[in-house]
Amino acid sequence: MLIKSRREFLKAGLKSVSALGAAGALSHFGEMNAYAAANPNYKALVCVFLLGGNDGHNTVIPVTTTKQNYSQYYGSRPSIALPQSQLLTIPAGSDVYGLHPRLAGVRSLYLQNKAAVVANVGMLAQPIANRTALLAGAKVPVALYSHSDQTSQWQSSVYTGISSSGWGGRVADAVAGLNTSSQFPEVVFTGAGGLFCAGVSTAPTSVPPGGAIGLNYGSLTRNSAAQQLLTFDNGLKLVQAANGILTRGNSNAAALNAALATAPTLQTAFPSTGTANQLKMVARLISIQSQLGLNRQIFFVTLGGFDTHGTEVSMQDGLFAELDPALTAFYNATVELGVSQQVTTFTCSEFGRTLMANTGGGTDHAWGSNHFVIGGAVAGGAMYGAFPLLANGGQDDANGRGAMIPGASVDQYGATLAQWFGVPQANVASIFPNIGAFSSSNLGFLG
Amino acid sequence: MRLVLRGALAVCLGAISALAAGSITVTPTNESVVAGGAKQMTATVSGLASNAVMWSASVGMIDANGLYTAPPTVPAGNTATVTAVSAVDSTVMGTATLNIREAGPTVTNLSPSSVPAGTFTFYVNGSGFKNGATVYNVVTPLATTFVSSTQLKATATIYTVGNVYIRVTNPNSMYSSILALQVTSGGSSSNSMAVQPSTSVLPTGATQQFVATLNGAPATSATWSATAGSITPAGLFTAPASVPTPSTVTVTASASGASASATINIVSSTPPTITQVSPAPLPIGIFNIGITGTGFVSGTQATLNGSVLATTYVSPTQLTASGLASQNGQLNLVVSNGLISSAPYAVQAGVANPLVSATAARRFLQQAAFGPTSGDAQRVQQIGFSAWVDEQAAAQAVSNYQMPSNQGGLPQRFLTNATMNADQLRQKVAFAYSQIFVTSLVKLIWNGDMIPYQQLLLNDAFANYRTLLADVTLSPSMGYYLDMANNAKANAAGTQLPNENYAREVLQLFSIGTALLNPDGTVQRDSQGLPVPSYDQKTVTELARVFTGWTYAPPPGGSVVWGAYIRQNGPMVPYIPQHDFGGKTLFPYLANGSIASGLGVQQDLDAALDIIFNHPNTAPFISKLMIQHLVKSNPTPGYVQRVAQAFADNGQGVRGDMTAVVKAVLLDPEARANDSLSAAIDPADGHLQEPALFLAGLFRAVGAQVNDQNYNSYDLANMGQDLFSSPSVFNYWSPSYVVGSVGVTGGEFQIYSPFTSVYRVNLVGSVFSAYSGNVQTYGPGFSADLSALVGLAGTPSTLVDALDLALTAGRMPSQMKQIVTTAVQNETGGNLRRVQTAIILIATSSYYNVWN
Repeated sequence: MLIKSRREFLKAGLKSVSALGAAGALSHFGEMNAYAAANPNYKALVCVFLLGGNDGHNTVIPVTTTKQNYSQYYGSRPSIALPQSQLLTIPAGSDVYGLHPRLAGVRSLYLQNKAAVVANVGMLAQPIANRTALLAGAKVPVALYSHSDQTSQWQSSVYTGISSSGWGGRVADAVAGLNTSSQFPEVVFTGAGGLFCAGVSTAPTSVPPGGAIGLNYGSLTRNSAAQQLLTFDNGLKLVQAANGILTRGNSNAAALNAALATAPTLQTAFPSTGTANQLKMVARLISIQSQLGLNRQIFFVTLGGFDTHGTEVSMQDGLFAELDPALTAFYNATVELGVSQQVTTFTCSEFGRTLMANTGGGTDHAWGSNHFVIGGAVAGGAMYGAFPLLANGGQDDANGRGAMIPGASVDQYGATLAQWFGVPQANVASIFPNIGAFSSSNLGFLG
Repeated sequence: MRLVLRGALAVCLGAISALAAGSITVTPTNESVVAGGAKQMTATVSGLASNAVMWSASVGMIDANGLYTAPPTVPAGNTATVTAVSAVDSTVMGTATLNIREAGPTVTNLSPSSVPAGTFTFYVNGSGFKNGATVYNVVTPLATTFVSSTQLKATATIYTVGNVYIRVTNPNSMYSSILALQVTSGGSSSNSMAVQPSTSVLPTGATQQFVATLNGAPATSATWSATAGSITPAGLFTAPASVPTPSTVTVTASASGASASATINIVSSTPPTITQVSPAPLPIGIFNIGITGTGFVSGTQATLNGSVLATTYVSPTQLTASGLASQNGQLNLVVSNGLISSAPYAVQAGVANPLVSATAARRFLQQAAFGPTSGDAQRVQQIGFSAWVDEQAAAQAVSNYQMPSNQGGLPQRFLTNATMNADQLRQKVAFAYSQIFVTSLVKLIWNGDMIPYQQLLLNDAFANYRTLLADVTLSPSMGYYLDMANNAKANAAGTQLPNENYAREVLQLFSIGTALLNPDGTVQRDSQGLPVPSYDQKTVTELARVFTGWTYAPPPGGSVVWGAYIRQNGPMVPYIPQHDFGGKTLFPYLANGSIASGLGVQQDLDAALDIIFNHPNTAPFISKLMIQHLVKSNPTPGYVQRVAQAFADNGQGVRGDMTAVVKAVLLDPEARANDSLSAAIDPADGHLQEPALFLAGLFRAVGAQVNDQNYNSYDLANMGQDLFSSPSVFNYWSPSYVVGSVGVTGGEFQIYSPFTSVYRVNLVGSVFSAYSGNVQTYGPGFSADLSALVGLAGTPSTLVDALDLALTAGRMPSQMKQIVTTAVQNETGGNLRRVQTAIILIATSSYYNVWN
């Protein structure tokens, strides 16, 4: 299923782009080496979830590839196809693809082998070779094309949709023993929460970009009574749940604020956007991992607005204009902190969008999509998974509108990240219960 | 912390996500500064590259070094907020609050300046005293009477010989300077005397036995004297035969060189009478009544069925009193001048012959309204649940969203409407609709495109679901939000198909859901246990063809323009050239699941909406959502089925009657089960109050006055519910969200995070934090007068009973009540502080936050 990565080709390619901005920033921080004492046992996963279903077809575009050229793409969605002249080309083996013109930072990281593309990832119940196999009755996930169902499934990696925990949370459960303290949760969400974060034995906390706040009842008398009330639920489960959340909120804030008081000031400049502010807080939380006693951290960052049913080209342009500089700044911050090899960032989104445009200049809900993984540990400068044939009604299209049958499953995508993170292979199936349905549990993008 | 957040939010236009790292702490905070005076402020910076800050103050001036100068006169609200913003990161700031007070009055001397140990009275002479001034023994307030602007009278009981230090404040002023008062042994070096009762009310000609103690032991050898009437050597006082002038008599006992006095208010021996009490009946809950009658004196005490009421003397014919009435019934009101009491006066508490109990009415209003008020609860008790629903359904809408601004202000208006307006059930149902048929300012941007939509939901609150569905579908706001407006049919080549957005979401979210349902709302499953889909991609593609050829209505006299930008000229109108007139097969498994070709644009739409309306899923799907928004997160299938039956047939053969659905939701035995105080606990019961319900409910419970200038828009956003700006058509939270830690459904928990839960607690503390004065304010749009509660706070258990009725519908479990009562008892900061403590503890408890 893998496209063979041709690292020699990429290294050659890199020479021609050594003057790129991000490369310059990299060497700058390399010299500063401000955090050379970074903990070698540390690792972090950063999930950037693009809410609404990002259109992967206008994210990674074939230019000249063995399977198809730009004209195949253009002919399948002429009203919303990006002009070839605007694409930011990247090599993938002997193929050439183009990235959306707003993804200059991701492209730069790709060309430095710090980022990779994982093509046509989506939720699957079993491998489906093509449209023929699908129509012959292959098992598919429940409620395809539904935002809520596919969001839950991407985040839980359970295609039946029946799960009260997410795969991020379960990964956290599996590696909890690597942490030296349990004063602060391993999983943090900085924007909207999600099922991704919920473990079976661990619970996440929320840290908005402005930081956490502790409880302030205004007097010791009240505080003492409130502590008693926090243990009182009168036998009601929802009261019990609320007590638990509030208790965690307070204790997490106390631990966090104590640690943040000693945090170094980040030198990396972040843009002033919602996404960048979230990722800046992630960088700050990484910078205090040793104070928090955490050798493993998982972060969940969200950016909404990708449900581009109409006027898609301008909408996606604006969204990527926010996303790309934020991802770049965050990568640079990990370099500054000396942990770029230990932090892997990856994108998710509940589904891709139809290849065929609708009459409103937008696209509708579909299935597989293209994603990015970023970090020093990534076997970057390469494409993983199988890029689909961009033909409406073609071999990879599930429904005639260009809903791509995924070539790689969410289970495989997550399992690859989990194994790099330290989950023993023997435990992978407990986190990704359907992984056995696929030929490999590792897509290879983390070496 | 609230101020820190609000300041940052103001800078970044409400986006939580724009808050920055680092922190600044400004000290001192909550200290007092005299008007015109100065205070040095200090900013402690952490986590930033530079310690440099820029100072600002809400009133007064502050220089670059943090030296604050208060304005020459006390500003409204008595406070100044001092803000330090980082010079290197303007999103990081800290604030401190300073209480600006008038200069204290001037004191010149005490008269006498030397007093005998025991209970004594003295005068403070000086200037600038105001009515309400208080004399202090250092920090202990003494019983003070305002005599004039140059004299105050104070009474104290001090047995320790030596100097005590006396000072004075006017209301909200700084302290005066200090004067020494010499407490002497009264002639004997160590003797102290006391007389009991120290104050009393006695009718003319009546007797009162006084007891003197010397150093704590009975002083049998004391000599007695009285300024009027007579007193025996044994201390038996006989009041004079007529009321003397002044009416106060002082009785003094002396022994061993020490002396002590008691005061007696002599009143007529004719009993006082009560002729009228208003309002009648007394409301259930806290009441404030006026008592009209005769023979009232300063010190007249009112009791209700033996419970002492906080009583204030107004005139010989007028008293006011406040207290708590917990249950309906006839009660006896008595007023007493000491031993002389009026005849009992029968007052009715609550309505006579109530149809439901006071607690059940309040619990009902947690479901059918934005929480109970005393007045609404009284109406429910009077006419019963069902008639109340009918009355609300028949009443005209009061609430509206008309406002001058095209941006901002709608969340504030929501809270004004929800807290203040009588059309509670209409609003509550419309709010549920707004979270089912979601539109959002995130895309609509302008109030002008949201207001008509909210108005539509208010107007249709009690309409037929089919009408509601059509109105929503053709609303310009929904047309824009989910792309049905200007949705063109497929192009000739078939390479562009109609936009599927509305077609998909109207099925998934507004009507039938993704899986086939049983009549009780449970999901139908196949042999592998997987849900049976209620539609597939083909259905969506076909339905998208129905929703083609509609655009915004032109202004009066104008012509229809395809592709027009959104405008609010009523429902969308057909544009024939862009409609797909072909036949459509929506649900192959339904007998009437298809639409013939060649129908008109409107006919096509009507046919599709009829098919959706009559789909077997719609009744249980909508019914369950209404239950979850109004009553509980985890209804039993039986409950859903009973409501779904009301949806299917309102009893008169009409399907989709939402008044019948709402009534079925609210009157179902499962909704009413906990009205009984002895009902068995269902562990999965209740639902978490989402932020909007929480704030409105709390505000109503404390009788707050709210207007559009309230500050709570930011608070709602910080708690995860940026009203009218849902992040997507999937609302702020999904009713099917399962709370993993406890394994039951609790949709509202999707926005109840460790952060937002702490924010909620601290917000309550901020709202009820007034330093002095019973009126709590939180910005110019919120005030709550806690005077009646403060009047009850002398008896902690009564205060907690009153708040139990107001907040927890009289159902607070005894264990919780004990915790709160003990905390109130331990509160030493005075009665206002006690009330604040009780409200904060109850309102922030998870038990209160989960209405059940």
